[in-house]
Amino acid sequence: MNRKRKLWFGKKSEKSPKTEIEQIKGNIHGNISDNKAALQQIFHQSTDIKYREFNLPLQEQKKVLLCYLEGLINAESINKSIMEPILEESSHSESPKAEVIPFIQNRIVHNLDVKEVTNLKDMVKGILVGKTVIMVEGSTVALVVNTIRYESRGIEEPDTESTVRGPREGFNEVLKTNTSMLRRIIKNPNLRFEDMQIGELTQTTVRIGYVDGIAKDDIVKEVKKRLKAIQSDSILESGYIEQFIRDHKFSPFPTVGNSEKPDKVAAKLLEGRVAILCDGTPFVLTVPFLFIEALQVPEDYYNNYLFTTFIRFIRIISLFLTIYTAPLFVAASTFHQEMVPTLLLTTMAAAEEKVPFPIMLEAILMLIVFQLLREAGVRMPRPVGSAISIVGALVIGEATVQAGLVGAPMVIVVALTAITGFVVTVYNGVSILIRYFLLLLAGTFGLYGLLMGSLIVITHVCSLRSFGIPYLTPYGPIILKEWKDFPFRLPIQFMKNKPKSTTKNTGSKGDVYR
Amino acid sequence: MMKSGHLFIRKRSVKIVAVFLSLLLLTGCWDRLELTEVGIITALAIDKNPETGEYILSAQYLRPAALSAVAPSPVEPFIVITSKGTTVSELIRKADQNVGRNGFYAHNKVVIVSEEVAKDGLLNLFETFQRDKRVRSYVWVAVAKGTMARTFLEKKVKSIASVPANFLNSLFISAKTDAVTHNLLNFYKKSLKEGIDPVLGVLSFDKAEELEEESIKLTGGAVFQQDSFVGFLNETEAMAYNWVRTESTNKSQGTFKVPMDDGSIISLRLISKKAKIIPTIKGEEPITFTIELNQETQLVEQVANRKFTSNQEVVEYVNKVKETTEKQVEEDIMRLVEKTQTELRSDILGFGETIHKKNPKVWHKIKENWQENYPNTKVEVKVNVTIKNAGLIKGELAPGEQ
Repeated sequence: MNRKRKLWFGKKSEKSPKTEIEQIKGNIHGNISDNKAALQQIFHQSTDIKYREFNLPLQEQKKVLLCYLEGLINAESINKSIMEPILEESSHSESPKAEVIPFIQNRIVHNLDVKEVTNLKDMVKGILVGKTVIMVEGSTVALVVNTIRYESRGIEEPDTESTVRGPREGFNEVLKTNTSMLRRIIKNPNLRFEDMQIGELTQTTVRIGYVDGIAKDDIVKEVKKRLKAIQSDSILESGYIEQFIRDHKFSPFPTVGNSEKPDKVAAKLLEGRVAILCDGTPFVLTVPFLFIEALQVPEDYYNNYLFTTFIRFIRIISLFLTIYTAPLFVAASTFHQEMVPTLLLTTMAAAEEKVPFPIMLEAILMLIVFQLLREAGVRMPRPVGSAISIVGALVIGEATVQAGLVGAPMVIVVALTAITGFVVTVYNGVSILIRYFLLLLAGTFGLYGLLMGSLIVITHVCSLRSFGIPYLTPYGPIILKEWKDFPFRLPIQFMKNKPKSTTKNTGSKGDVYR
Repeated sequence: MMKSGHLFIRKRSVKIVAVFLSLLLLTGCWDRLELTEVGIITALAIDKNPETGEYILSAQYLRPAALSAVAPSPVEPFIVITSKGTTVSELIRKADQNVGRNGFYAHNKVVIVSEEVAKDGLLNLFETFQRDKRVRSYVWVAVAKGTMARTFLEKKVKSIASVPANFLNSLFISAKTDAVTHNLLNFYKKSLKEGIDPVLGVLSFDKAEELEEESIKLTGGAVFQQDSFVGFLNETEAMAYNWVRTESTNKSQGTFKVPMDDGSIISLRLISKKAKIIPTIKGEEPITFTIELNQETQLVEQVANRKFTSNQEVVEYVNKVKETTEKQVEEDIMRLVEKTQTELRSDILGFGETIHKKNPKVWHKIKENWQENYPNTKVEVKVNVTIKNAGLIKGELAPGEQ
């Protein structure tokens, strides 16, 4: 087992004890220079840690040490809430009778978030997030003052989920802002947030949000349990969390949802789902995630119900088309020519007459070329963008047809596959994989293979669950009441009840104000 | 212990993967045919060499490159391949060898047989179509009148379709009441069933004396006795056959003209019809039949030299048209029945079938001699014509009107 593991995953990295924050031991000394020495040992010669020493202008002239990480702190905040009051006001005040620290905390520091700490570990943790530590000579208690500076991108419209109708704001990389955006939408005390730090090295703050009374207790408990069980050095994006907490680790289907849009996440919270916000990324996870959610879009609920219903059918069709167009074309033209109408068959045959490749190879090549173009389009630096589009138009287009390398119908098939693939973006990745799988089967076994392949995929999807809820709810199991939201979208007056499958069964209409 | 267990699993998984891979590589593809290996056949014609008795199969293969939308080529979009032999499967094989592609018969539209071939009986000839499932059952079957069957594949008369087979196919689809059109499936049904004989479409060249060009015509019908051709029906007879026998309303629609007593001619369009053959079986007495036909028609043309002065006159006129039409239709049908009884000796209207349906016991007794007894059976025709609509014009267009 060990030998195999090494082969596959490499040697498990040994952690150096110094890097573990939890392993920092020791309390704060009464002597400032000792404390400074301890901090210097912990942070080494790191250039961004700053120390500021001065004398307290009280009668006793006590030495004070401020310590912070440059760049994380708000200098103005330190000046206004710590330096100015200490240097000016304390000189007017009477000298404290007993301890200096409570005096500073209660009378001098002008800050909302001030905490007393006694050990080095908590102090270091505070410094690392951008707080300022105040140590006073002769005191074994230090103050950790919140002087965190939030640098953020500003609230912009997310590129991944643009809408015509609806709010344009999107989450950004700052957890606090993201939380506030949700809170601004759901103004209710039952909206709960709970924090935890995940990632032994990165200490990333992960916040779960849910509406108490709507969310199922089991699911909230399960989410917490799975988050706690994460053992990882680093959490750099919510994608890490997604992979750690998801069911069916090897399935290509997403069982955890993500969104950049506060209105979407808020809607999901109100349907009893749990949101997982991760510091440093605008992508907020929502669980449980069902199959139909990918085919629903916030705009569906802002627009006319009839149009929405129509668009939803279009989405279903496009999901089907993006997976099946190429395999069906290959199967029909190499195994089942009798199924193609005569005129279409002659057109296809006329186009294929000069093409040197078998149709399956042609399809696979063209699809791979398209994937290459797409990948290049995403990764390349913006200034060279026009080059790709010119070459792309040539490769997947008339030039190849005229060169006689590819038949014209195949170009249309690939174009249709590509366009429809972007309609349901959540399943873009999955549908690419399934498409190739079915294409191979269709090219070797014809429609029979296509059918068998589809059965395998459908069986797999049926077996999936997301946090205990079957992936295909409300279709497998059938919950007729929830069909009014998919594929149809009934007028909003009919959608009074919250979906039973994801909300707590309270008998009420999922009322937030219980 | 652990190690060997894992080794075992790994070995087994390698085996399973190998099996699946070989499935893909070995079993698949056995019936795959690239489009460039397929020769699409759109029409078949079967003739007979009168001296050797060999069959001559002409197959019309499509040449897709000539039909290409990008670069249409000047060559004809089809080629006709001819092969000789004694059985159809042999002919098909030989045709494939000649053209260098796998003949693909699922898109075949028409099978044309010559009179001589049809006289030999078609069931044996078409056996391989059904057994091998090469040719689909909805292919049109027709008999070539007065010419070789293959001339219809080669001869390019003026037509909108570029491939003769498509043109022939559209002839069959748009055929009206004066032509019998049956596909292979219908032919099988009628020739294999007891108490009814099939009729097939007839293709012929039509050359009007005033015009130079020939045209292909699909009118009338070819009457069979079981599966052997016995004679032709003309247009009026085909019309009568369609009125009594054809189930599809589309095929029974069409205009027919009726000469009036005063020498004028009116035309009626059939909108719908209902026909029924009722056998009367009374003990040992000879069986008699009544054909009941209800026609709903519309007046589409009236070439009369008269003008109506009152509504009363119009009603009288319409009643007269009705009576005349009924009489004429009755005569037409009677003439068809008599022809099948005397000249053709073929029960194409399915009198025997109606006995079979109504009284199977009687049928089983008489079916052996039905072929001989049918010509002596008494048939009565009752026709009821309804004129639904006389158009928008009152009377006829005549000079001097305001």
